[in-house]
Amino acid sequence: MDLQQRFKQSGMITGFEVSNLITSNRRLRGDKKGKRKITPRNPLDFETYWLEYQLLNYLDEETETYRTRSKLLTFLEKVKKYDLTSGEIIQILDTRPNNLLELYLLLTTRSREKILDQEMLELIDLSKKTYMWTDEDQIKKDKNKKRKKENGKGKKKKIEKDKEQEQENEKEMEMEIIKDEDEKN
Amino acid sequence: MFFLYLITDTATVPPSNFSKNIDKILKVYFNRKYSNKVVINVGLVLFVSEIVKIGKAFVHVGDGSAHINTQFRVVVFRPYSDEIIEGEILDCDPLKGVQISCKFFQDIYIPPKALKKGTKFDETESLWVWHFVPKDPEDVELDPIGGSKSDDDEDDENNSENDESNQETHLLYMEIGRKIRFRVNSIKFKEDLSEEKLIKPIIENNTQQNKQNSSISIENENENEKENEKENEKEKEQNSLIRDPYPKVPLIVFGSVKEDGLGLVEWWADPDEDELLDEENQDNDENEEN
Repeated sequence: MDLQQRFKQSGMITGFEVSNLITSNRRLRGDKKGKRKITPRNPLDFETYWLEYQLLNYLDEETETYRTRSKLLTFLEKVKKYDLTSGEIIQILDTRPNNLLELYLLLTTRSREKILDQEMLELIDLSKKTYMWTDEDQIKKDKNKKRKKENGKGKKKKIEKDKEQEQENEKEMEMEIIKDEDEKN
Repeated sequence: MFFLYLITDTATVPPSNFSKNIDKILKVYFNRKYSNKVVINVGLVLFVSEIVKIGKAFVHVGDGSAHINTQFRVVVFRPYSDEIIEGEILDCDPLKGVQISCKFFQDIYIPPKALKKGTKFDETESLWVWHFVPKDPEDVELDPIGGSKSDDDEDDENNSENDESNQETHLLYMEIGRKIRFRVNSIKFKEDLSEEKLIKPIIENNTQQNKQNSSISIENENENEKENEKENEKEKEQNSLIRDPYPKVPLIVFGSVKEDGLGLVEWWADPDEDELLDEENQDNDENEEN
């Protein structure tokens, strides 16, 4: 079988999904969280690490943006009424238009004729809301922090738990040593 | 720009890795095999996203390693025509045009014919410059497909010189490192990287005259001189053939910047709201004084 015949196209994805895949791959590998530039242990893996680093730099250039899966899903639901193609939707999500002119470039001739200028402005507002940091996002982030503290997922709780386990292990070791001495005697 | 492809391939796992997690080993194996490599008529393979199906492992005679038939998904970079992409300017060349990089892929070119009308190459700065002449908004209708239109398209070239003398021409440099937005025209895959193919240049309205002149001169001379001239013509053709200016690379993307809205991002950026308010306040103050 030829190399090209083995490849079957299964779909188109956004830049957001690509960055998510890269972070999930790094997590599975056990790489350090939050660090973008990672040196591989094996030189054969250099190309994959280099590609991931350059892709993250290209896709996450604007640090002021905040994207979540839920926001993208709401965007997709609201965009259905405009009857856009999948390529247009993905381009809007990737390029993030700020003007009518930028949006006009992304659309096909069919959608340019269908959609009015007011609807185009609504589309631009929708795309901005998916990528801008809002007050609602701040409130959600604060709520999540409180939940983590209450459930004990913070670092301080982990350190305390580790100390307790070490103390228990030391006690068990002492008990075993005492038993061995008693048996000898 | 990014596509998912499903691939079926066999992986050879050595016996030292039998005790380890199979998913991790297969991902590492296929990443080393496919990542950062161009598959012709498919695109640039970036990385393995997930492993879909793991088949049975076969061990062949004389070989201790296991051969596993797997299905996995791969992320591929393959820009399609009429797509709009943003990148950074890497280099400016009079023959190649503008080279653009997307950080993970750098073989994107905008040839000189696909640049905006009025762009010229500045040899002192070694940059492409767009000589922008602003026109009255009443005469111009913006056509996003074909660029700006005017009522008299045929007289544009004649009037441009007069306009430049009357109006100010803004020199907009395409500086290196700046963000640029372009539309993808075509993608080319090169299978044979070893051979250099020479391209004939496009000569307009001069080939017929040259043929007539050469035919008249040959009739008057002897046969030996005819053979020598034919050999000289062949050498001239070979010397006049132009080498392909673009590098020998498996995947090249060609784009264009002719439409309104394309080019450097800062050319089309909206002014800040504060600047607009200041301009409005200045206008209001002037009206009050008058």
